[in-house]
Amino acid sequence: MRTKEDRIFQIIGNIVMIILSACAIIPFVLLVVSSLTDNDTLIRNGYSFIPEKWSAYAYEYVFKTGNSVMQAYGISVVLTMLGTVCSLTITTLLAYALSKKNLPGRGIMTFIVFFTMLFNGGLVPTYMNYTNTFGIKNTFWALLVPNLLANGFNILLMKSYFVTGVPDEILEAAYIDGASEFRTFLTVALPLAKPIVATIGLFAGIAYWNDWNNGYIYLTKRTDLYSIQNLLNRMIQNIQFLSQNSSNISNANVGLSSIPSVSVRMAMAVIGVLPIIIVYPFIQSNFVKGITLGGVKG
Amino acid sequence: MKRILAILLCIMLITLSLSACGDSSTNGGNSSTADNAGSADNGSNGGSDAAAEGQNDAAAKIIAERKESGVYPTVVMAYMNWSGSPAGLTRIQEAISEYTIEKYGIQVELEIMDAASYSQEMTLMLSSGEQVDLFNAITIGYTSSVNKGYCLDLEEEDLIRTYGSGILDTLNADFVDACRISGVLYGLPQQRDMAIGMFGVAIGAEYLDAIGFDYNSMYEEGEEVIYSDFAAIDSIFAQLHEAFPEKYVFTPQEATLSQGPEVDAIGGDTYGVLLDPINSLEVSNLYSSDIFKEFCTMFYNWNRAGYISADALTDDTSATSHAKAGNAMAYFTATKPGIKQQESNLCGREMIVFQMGNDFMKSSAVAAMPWCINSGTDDPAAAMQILEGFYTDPYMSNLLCWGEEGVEYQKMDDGHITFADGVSAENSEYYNNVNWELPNQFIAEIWEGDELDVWERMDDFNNKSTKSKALGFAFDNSAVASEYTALYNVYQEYVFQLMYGYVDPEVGIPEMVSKLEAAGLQKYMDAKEAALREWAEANGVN
Amino acid sequence: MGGSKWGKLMRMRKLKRFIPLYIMAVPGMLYLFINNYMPLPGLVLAFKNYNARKGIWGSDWAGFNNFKYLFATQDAFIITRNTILYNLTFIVVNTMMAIAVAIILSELRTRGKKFYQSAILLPFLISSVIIGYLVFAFLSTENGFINNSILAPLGLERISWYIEKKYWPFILVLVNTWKNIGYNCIIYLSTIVGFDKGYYEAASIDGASKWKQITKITIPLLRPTIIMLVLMSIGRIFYSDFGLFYQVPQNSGALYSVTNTIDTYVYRGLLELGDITMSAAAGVYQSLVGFILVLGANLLVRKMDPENALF
Repeated sequence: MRTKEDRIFQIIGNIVMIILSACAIIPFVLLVVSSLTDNDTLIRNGYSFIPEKWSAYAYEYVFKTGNSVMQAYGISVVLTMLGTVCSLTITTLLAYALSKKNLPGRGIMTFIVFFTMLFNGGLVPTYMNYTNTFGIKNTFWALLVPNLLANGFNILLMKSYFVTGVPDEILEAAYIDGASEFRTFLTVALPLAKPIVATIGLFAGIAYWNDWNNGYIYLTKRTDLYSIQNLLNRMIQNIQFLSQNSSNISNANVGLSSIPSVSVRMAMAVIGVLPIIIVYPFIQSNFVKGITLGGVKG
Repeated sequence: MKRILAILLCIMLITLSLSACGDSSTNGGNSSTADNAGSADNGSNGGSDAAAEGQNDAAAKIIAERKESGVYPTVVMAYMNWSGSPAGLTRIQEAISEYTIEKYGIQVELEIMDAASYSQEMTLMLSSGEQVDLFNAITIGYTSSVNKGYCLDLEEEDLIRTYGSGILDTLNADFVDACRISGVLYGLPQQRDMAIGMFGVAIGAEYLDAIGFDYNSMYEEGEEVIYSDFAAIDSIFAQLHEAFPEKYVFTPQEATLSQGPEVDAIGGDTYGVLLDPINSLEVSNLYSSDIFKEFCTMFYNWNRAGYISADALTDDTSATSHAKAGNAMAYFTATKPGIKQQESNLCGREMIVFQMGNDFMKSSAVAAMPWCINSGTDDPAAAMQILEGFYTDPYMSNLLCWGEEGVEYQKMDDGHITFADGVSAENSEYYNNVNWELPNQFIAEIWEGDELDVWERMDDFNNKSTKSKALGFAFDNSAVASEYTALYNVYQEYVFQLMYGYVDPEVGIPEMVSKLEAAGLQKYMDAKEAALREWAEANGVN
Repeated sequence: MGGSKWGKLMRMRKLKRFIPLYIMAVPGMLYLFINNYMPLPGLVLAFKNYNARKGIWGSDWAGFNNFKYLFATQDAFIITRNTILYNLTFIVVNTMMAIAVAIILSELRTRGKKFYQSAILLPFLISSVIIGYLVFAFLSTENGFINNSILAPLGLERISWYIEKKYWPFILVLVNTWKNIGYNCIIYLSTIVGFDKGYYEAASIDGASKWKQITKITIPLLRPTIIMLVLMSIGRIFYSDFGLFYQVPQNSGALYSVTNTIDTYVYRGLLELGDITMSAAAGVYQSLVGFILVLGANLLVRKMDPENALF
C-alpha cells in the first residue's frame, strides 16, 4: 500500500514538474528563436516560434560593434565570482555571530540588520556617499560594493538556519573538546550549514550577474568595466526614454533609429543568460552533494 | 550592549556632521574674477571684434596668467548623445585639450552619455556637487535646473561680456533673450533649427509611384517638401490602403500632437496652451478644444479604416524602423531644411515629405536645450572661455562635432566631408549625430548629403517662420508639482488611445477632460496664466 | 549573580568569550553601516526644498509639501489599493506554490530532478523588459500567439489584450509566479533537505501516508521559515516589482487602473520633473508604512509563537 501510494506520488510529481518546466522553458525558446529571426520579419510578423526568415545578424552585430562583448563577459565573471565569495564570507560570519542566543546585544544587532531592509537613504544620498566620501565612481569597486555585498535578507535567512539547523549540543561538544569559537565555526557549524551557504551563494551570484544598476549609475567613462547586463540594459533604458520623451527631444526619431533593433536586444538577453544556464548544472551538482553530505542528524 | 549602541550613535553623528561639511565645501568654490586693468594682449580670442578693449584685455590677461603659472584648470563638459560614451572619447578630449591649452591655458574633459543615462546621471552629478562645469540642460529640464540652483547667472560680474563676448556676437540677440528666466540669463541657445514645419507627412516614394501619384510636379521652386492639405493626404491614404492592404498606411507617434496642430504648449507641457499663439496670449485647455477634437476624430476615422496597426498602442519601435522594414508606408513628422535627406536615410528608401502646416516657432523652441554653466563651478571664467571657443572657433567646433580629420572623417573635393576610409556609422569611434545640441554646428564642416548652403537655409527658415507671442516664456511649475504628477498620469492614461484613434473621441475626450479637472487642471492653468501675464508685463508683450 | 566583585569578574570572563563573535560580526556590521546607515540622513531630503547652491543641509524646509502628490490625488486610492492587493496575493500564491514545488522536488527520486530545478529557475534570470517583450509575443493583438494560434482557430474573436483591463490581475499574478517560483522554492527546498530524516522514518513505520507525513511533519517544521519570509514580505508591502508593473503591461494607459502601483506612479510623475525630493518622499512613505506593518505583524507573531518572531 505504501509503495503504491509512493509510486502515484512520484508519477504525479513528475508530471507536475514537467508541466512547470515546460512553462518555464517555452518562453525562453521563443527568446532564442526571435534573436535568430531577421529583424524586419520581427517587425512585420511579430514574434513566432517558426519565423519566416532566419538571420544571425543580431549576434554578428553584438559581437562586432561598440563595446566588446567578450570584455563584458570577463567583467561579469570576475565580478560574480569575487562578489559571491566576499558576500558569502561577510554574510556567514555575521549570521553565525547573530545566531548565538546568549550573545549580549544580539537583539539590537538583529534589529539593526533588519532595519536596513526597510529604510533606504535613497539614490542621491547613496550616490553622494559612494562618490564623494569614498570616491569609487568609475572604478571596479563601484560594481562590487554598493548594495550587493551583503543585505539584511540573506543575513537573517542564514541566521535563522544556524539557529534551527545547527543544534547547540553539537557546538557545546566542540567547546568542551577545547575548540575556540572560530574553530568551532569552521569545523562544526559551517559543514552543517552547507545547504544554506549554497543557497545564499546562489542568490548572491545571481544578484551580481544580473545587476546593471551599479554599472549604470557609477560608470560613465569606464566603458571597459561594463558588465553584460549593463550593456543590454543601457540600450533598453535608452529606447524607452526616447520613446517616452519623443515630444520633448526633437530628434528622438533619429536616436531611436540608431539604436539596435529588437532582434539585437533579444540576442543580448540570450547572451546575458547563457553563461548561467551553462554553469548552473555544474554548481547544482555541488549543491546537491553539499545538501546530502551535510544532513546527518540525530 | 548599551555601550555598543552608544558608540554606534556617536559614529553616526560624527559622520552626519562630516558629510554636512563635505556638502557645503563643494558648493563654495572659488571664482577667479578678472582684473580690469588692460595690458598686453596675447591676441588669442577669436571673433570678438566688437568687444570693448578692457574686456578683451581681461580675457587675454587671465590666459597669460594661466600660462605663466603653468597651472591649467580643467573644464568638464557634459552632453548627451544617442549611444553613450564613444570609444574615441579620450582621444578627442586630448585633441581638444591640446588646442585649448595652447589657446587658453585650459584643459577640457568630456562626459558624453546616452539620453536615459544622461538624465539620471546629470541629476546625480549636479546635486552631489561633482565637478561638471559646462552642461547642456536637455532631458534635465532648463526651468527645473534653474529652480534647483544648478545654473550660474551668466551675467554675474559681467562674466559673459568679459570672457564670452564672441558668443553674443554670434547668436541672434532675440534668441539669447529667449533664454532668460525672470530676466536673468542662465543659459545660451545653440545654432540649429528653432522653428518647426508643422504637420509634415513622410510617405515612401515607391508606394506613391505604385498608385500613380505624380509628386515631382508638385514641388514649388527650390523646396524639398510639398505643401499640401488634409484632403489630399486623406485621399492618398485611402489609395495607399487599397493598393497595399497588407501594409499599414502609417505608424502613429506621440510627437505628432506637438508637431501637428499649430498650438503652443507653453511652459513645456500641454496643461494649458495657447490655441492661437500668433495672436493671443489666452491660456486654454487643449483637451476640451475643437482643435484637439478634430485631431482625434481624424485619427479615429483612419484607425477605423484600418490604416493603423492594432498594436500601435504598445509598440516602442520607431516609425522609421517600421518604414524601413516595409511594414508601414508613412508617418507624421516635423519638417526642417534637410528633412527629405534625413528621413530617406533613416528609412533606407526615398521618402516624399508633405507639409500641411506652417513653419512655426514655439515659445519653448529656443530654450529647449540650452548650454549652462554649473553654479558650483570652481572657475567660471575658464568655463565661459571654453564655451566661447566652441561657439566661435571652427577648429574646436569641428573636433566636437565630427572628431579628428583623417581618423573620423575626410574632406571631399566639393567641400563636403564624409567618413574616413574604412570608417562607417557602425564602427566610427566618434560619431554622435547630435550636432544640433552642440554650441555651433554652423561653423563646422558640412557632411555629405546636406546642401552646402544648409546653414543659410536654416537661418532663413528660422527667420521667416511665424513666431509665438510667448517666445521666451518659461514656466516654473514647482509650486504645482503635485498637480503636475497627477495630470501626467491622466495624460499617459488617455492620450494615446485618443491620439491613435482607438477610442471614440465623443466618449473618450469628455472622460479625459473630467479626470484632468479632478487632477487639478484648473489650478495648474491658473498658475501658468499668472506666470505668463507676469512675463508679458515684464517684457512688454501684449 | 553573586558578590559585585566576583560577579564583575565572571561577566568580564564571559564577555571575553564573546569577543571572537564580535570580531566575526564586524565586517558585516561595518558594511551595513557604510552602505545603509551612512546615506540614511539623506532621507531628510524628503522634507526639504532642495537647492544645489545651498546643499542638502542648507536648503529650506518644505514640511510635508513633497508628500502631497502621493495623497492629494484621485489616483492615490487606486495605486495604494493595487499595491497592497497585488502584494497580498503574491505572498499567498507564491508561498503556497513555492512550498508545493519544494516538497515535490524533495520527494522525487528521478534523475530529472536536477533538470526541473534548473528549468524553473530560468525565468528568474530573464530581465523584466525582456519578459515584457515575451508576454507581448503571446498577447499582441495582431500577431500574438494567443490571438492567432488559439482564439482564431477556435473561431473566437481576437482580444485587444493591452486595452482590456479585466484580464490583467490574472496575467500579472501568473507572470509574477512564473518568474519567481524557481527562486522562491530554493529556500524552502534547502530547509526541507536539512530536516531530520528520522521523523519520516518513524512516521512511515507507524503507517502514516505520504500526505499525512507532509501535513504533519514537513509543514510544521517549515513554519519558522514561512513566518520569517512572510514577515519580511510584509515589510516590503508598499514596494512593487517595477519591471512587472511597468514593462509587462508595456506602459499601456488603458490598463492604468489595474496596473498602476505606487512605484510606477512615482516613476511616471517624476520622469519629467526629475525631482529628487519628491522621490525621496515616496521612499520615506513606503518604508514607513512597511515598518509599521512589520512591527505590528511581529508583535502578533510574538504573542502567538514567540520563538519565531523576527525580533
